[in-house]
Amino acid sequence: MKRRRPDFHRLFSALLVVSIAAAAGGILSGGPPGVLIAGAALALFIWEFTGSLDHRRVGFPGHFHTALLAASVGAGLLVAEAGLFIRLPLPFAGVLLAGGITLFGLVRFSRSFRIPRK
Amino acid sequence: MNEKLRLVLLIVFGLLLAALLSRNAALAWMALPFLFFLGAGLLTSPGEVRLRASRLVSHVRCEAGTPITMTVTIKNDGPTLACLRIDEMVWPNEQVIDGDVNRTVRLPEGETTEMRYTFHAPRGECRWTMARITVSDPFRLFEKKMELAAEAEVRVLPDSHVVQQLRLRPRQTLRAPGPNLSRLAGSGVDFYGVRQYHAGDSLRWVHWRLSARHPRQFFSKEFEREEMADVGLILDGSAAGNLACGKEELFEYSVQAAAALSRTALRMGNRLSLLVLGEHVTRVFPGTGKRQLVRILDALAGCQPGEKASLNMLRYLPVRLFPSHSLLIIISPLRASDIPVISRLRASGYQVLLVSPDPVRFASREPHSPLACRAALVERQALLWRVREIGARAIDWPVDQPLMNAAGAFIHEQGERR
Repeated sequence: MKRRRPDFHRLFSALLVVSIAAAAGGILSGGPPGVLIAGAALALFIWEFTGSLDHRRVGFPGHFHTALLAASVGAGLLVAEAGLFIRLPLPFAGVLLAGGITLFGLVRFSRSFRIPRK
Repeated sequence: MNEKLRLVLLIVFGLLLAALLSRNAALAWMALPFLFFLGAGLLTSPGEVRLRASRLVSHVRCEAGTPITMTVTIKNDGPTLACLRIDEMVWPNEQVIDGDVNRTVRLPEGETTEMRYTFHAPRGECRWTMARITVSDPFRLFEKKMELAAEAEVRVLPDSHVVQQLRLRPRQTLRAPGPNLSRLAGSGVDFYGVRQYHAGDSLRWVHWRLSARHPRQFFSKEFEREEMADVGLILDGSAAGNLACGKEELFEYSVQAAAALSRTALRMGNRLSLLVLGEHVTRVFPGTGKRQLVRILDALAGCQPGEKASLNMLRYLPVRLFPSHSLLIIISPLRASDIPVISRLRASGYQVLLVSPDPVRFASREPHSPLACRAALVERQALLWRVREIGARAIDWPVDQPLMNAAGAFIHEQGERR
């Protein structure tokens, strides 16, 4: 009988959250933001890549997945690094408004892709 | 929303919230790779999905232990799917010996994918009605789960071997040619007696030696007519008598015995019927030949022990199922409550042969008190003695040995009694 491979998915997810929390803590404590953002993006890349390995074992073509992952995370990282050079002084009320709009948008975004339960 | 999408959204929300509270733009920028990751997933997520599924099994009917190969085929009639996952339903006690029961592929438009695996299934009926499919983007963030109709059925028959040594010796026979000695003179092989020659007797039947001793008289040999007998098989599937020891169940041995005896009785040329008192009452009406064996094995493949089943149900014995004076073979672990039922069957004129898988030796595979085992063995011997006292024959079958050995010991015992 074939043995089941252990499922490390939850462990990798926990490691991703820990690494993002560490990077955010590093920024708040005055660390170099460019390096820490790159570290967070790398953690995302590794998390998704290791998560796909189990699927690749059962026939999933990995090259398309890896290329798309590298393109999306790389583009995001590039824009984020460029964004660090933008200095836009905003009043606190403006920041709150922008935050509110962003949150609202994210909530709507998440709801619009909810699969109805049968 | 699946767990993965929830985690990524949680990280994005967390980073944006932290950026707002700390008024640090770098934290907000950190969320950007995650947002791009979500966006890429969203752009490549499946829109319209048009799939067809089908199944193909290597065996529709087979014996337990035979490797069965299942092929699941999915055809994509819609646009290209970036990620398609097939999750196969595995039956309890099904052992996958080769291949995978799930598969993830990229399926271009108009193409087909196959998933093949080989498994061993225990006795029973395995029926598949659908294939579980999940289509998603390559990152498996936005998933659509669906069940496509794909039917297949496998009937795994019980192990059955012919019990060579068993002679059924029915007292009543049918007026049709068969294997059992009928105690009537006629055409046969076994010598029966000698009588006066009648006109029309074949010269081959003339007893020349006796005729030589008696001048002017001729004698003919008579042979014992060989006829078919009616045999009824009753399988006791009461859950109370079905002991379990690890993964093994005593009922499985009863089913194996029923299958082996069916094969033996039909191969001899008898007419056989079956009654299973289990989760459902299953009946197979009397018949002969290979077709009847197929019917009986199919019925045995699907039977399961039942909570309410017991031999007491025989009080409502259907008349058509077991013709009067037929030989009834009861396969039961035997409990004290079964004795009156066997007694009643004997009183009704049936000839009864009890084949009893030994529950005490079966249960003693697990560590029990030796004193308790001895007490149970004594009780069982007393029960078997009572069965023999009421005129039924009994085969005590220790299930760790082949049924053939128990049948051999039974024949030996019968010979000594005569």
